[in-house]
Amino acid sequence: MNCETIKDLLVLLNCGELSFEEEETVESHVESCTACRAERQRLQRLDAFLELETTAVPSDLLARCRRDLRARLAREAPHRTWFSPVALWQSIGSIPWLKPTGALALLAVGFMSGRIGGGVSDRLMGPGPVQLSSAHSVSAQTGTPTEAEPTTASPEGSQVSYRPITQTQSAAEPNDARMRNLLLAAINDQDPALRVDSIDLLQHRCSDETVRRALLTALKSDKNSGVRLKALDALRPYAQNPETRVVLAGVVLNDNSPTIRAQAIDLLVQSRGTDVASTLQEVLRREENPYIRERSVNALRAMKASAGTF
Amino acid sequence: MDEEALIRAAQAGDHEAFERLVKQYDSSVLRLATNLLRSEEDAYDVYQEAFLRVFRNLPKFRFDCSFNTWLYRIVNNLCVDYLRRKRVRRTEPSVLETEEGSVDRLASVPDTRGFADPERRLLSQEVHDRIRAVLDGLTVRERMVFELRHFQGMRLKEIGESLGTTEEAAKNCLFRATRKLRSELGGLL
Repeated sequence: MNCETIKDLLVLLNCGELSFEEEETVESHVESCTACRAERQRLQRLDAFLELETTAVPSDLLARCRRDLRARLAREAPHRTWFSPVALWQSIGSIPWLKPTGALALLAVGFMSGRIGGGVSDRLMGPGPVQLSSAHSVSAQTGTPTEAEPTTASPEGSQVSYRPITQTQSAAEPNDARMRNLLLAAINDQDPALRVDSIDLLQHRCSDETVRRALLTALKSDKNSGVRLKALDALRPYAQNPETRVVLAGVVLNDNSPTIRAQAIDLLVQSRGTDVASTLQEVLRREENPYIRERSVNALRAMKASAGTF
Repeated sequence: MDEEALIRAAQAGDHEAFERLVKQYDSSVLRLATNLLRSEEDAYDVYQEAFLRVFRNLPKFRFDCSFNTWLYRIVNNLCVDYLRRKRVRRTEPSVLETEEGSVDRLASVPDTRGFADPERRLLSQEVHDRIRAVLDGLTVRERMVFELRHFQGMRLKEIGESLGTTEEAAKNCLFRATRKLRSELGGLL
């Protein structure tokens, strides 16, 4: 195999697209060919550059997309037939022996519903009471997320309960304790977009110790970096608070996102606490990211603290 | 619930299942659209249109291919349309000659790709600009393949299927795109 072919295969090797045999061929060629070895290193550096080009989806954009999609789907839903014969037929089709039985059953249903009058779909979609319940709701009294149980009562006995994707809106004064509890509960919701929105709404209430503690917990332990970043932003005015500084120091040393670590360093430096220098020195001991290291060194220099001993 | 069960539930009209399905894929879809279109508003439009199409056509989905491939076929088609429209718009000159000298209209356009990230600042402006210039100069197909492979981590076979072409054609697009980047960044690698 000549070097030109190997160069193309190196692209695929980097992507993990080669078979075991092809990989072996390329590897043994690269071992004995300086030019191809250099090419492989260049491609690896290109990959490293491209890695830095990867953009994170802005969490507010994702939240807006989801919210608006829910609203649009809710508008679409009335045009969608809930009882879908096509989907049912497909399900039946996946079990071979069931298909003829299913055909007979559908024929029987059609015949009977025609006899009775009104048809199956009228019974299912007809004017009887249908209660809509959102998939997730939050109890205003307790602030605890609960799974709503759809219940219906219909004198005709034919009922359909379903859970549409709809946005639930509540209006309340900003200082309403129930609203605060709802928002605090939503910080633990499984949807990160909702968590970000909740922090956004709570950020002006950080003087409330419960709110501040909830945001500190989110900053410390939320799995989603967008949520942690939002919590960090919300806590900016409280960087001098001792409890906040402790959490910030932990974030600087332990958060897995360099973006968050860098922003936490800035905030910590602004707080001008006596323990900032030792935290930054610890950063220099542990940190591998050159940008964060540089930032810490600069901050230490600005504080006239020692950075060169590490 | 595994993905097939989720899809079947959504096909039968279960909205909660549909929402879960959306959440499995929507960040990736939005990231692809944002990367390709370099505009949050266009990416927003593609997101909405893509998932509405999925919602409307889900009952017709017959598991002939993976859901991922089917979804990305929809997203890719939408992005290709947007990119082609953008290309047409881009034929307008960016530099205007005025009485006070040349003004680059693009210089006043805010960059919406999150350059405030420290990682991004790490990348020297020169490398970043060159990568961007090469990506902008790729054909729409090359660009799609490159984005799907490098930034979405899709396999070439799947990329071929979602772009309505063969694995071999996707592979060639990837080779061409990589060669262009390699040659443009030559001295910096």
